[in-house]
Amino acid sequence: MAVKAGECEMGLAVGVEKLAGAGLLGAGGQAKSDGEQWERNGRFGAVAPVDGRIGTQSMPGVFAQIGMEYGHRYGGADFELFARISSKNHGHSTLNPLAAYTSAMSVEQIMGDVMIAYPNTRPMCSANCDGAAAAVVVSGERLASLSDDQRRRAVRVRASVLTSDPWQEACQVLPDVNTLTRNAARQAYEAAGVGPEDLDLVELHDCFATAELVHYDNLMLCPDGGAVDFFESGAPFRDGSLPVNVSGGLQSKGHPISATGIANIWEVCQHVRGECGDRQIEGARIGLAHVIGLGSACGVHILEGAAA
Amino acid sequence: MELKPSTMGLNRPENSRQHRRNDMATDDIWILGIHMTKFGKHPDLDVVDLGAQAIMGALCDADVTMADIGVLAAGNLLGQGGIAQQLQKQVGQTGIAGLQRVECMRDWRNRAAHGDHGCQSR
Repeated sequence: MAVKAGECEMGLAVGVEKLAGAGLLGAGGQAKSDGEQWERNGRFGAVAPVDGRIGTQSMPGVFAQIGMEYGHRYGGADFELFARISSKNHGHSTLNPLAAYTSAMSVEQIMGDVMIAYPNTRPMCSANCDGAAAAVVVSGERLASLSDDQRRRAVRVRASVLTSDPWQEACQVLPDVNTLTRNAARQAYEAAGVGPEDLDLVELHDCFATAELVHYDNLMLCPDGGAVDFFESGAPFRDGSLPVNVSGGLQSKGHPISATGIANIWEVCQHVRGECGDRQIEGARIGLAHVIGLGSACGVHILEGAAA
Repeated sequence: MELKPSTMGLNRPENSRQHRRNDMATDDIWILGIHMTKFGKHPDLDVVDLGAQAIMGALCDADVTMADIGVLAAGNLLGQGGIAQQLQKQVGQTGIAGLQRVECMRDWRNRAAHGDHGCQSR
């Protein structure tokens, strides 16, 4: 933002996290004690722990719910479909040596693993792990003075959008995963002057298999309600019409929270630079990177290779 | 009440203000260099080691040095805070602004410490 504002010509962004062994985030582990004393407590003055009573803020719970909700609304999204989405990403990760887990997993293996929160089993959850990612950003003016090689490899930020939750007539505590992503996507497409049909690949925030399905829709990769058909068409596979999470995604590459956003951007950059080796999506020119943090914030970047 | 998420909150005036700002704000910025570390278990590396590895990789990829950098933005969720300054001490203290994107989720961390059957144990 400082680079954009002209305060300086070059900036550095870094995200880093130690998350291996962190366990379930957002909730869990606390007994629901119904003591004799009812005392108002916490930000909302609740007299008892509310998690699990009026919904949940635990991440597995939230994302299990949004997947089931999508299925109820539009149909076609069952346990096996979510497992197939996860199997896609684990398959993709076999080509990514930087991923935390690089083994392919069959649908049967995934469905037979430990259930975390229906319909997400353990391999359908993002992998807690350690990692970091960093990016150097530069103004166009400064870039023009740099070497041919630096200019050739530079990736143009066609859109960089950050949104938070808008007000809505709904619960102010339980997270809404969808609206801020839809808002960010819409703003990003407008700012970039491109549409979803112009994208060559997408790295989206598949913190759970269920999240990937709803974000097909939120990022407008398919018509409203068409996420299941989009997946069934084979589009999001690496040989499909719009590959999604060819890095393996958060489920397989891993999700060291603060590093995830830049890591998603890194993946897209490598493809639009044509430097992704075995994993390269041939001819990739424009890609979208998406990241979300509940509470909430959502970032969407649309990136274009300089050679384009 | 209309519950369809695709139509919620999209026509509010503050969103159209954001559109205009983003239109102006996206033309002329480029990613010059970028790097990610191996994701996984790094028992022998702390956040400063990992962050510094990412930074040095990105600088190398960009073919520039810390001396060229005018601002540093650093993000870390579960740590103690002060990550931007800690990283500057590791990669080069040039007196530039170090911005934090640190969300202090102490409550989360405490809860996480109790819930030991997480998704990470694969």
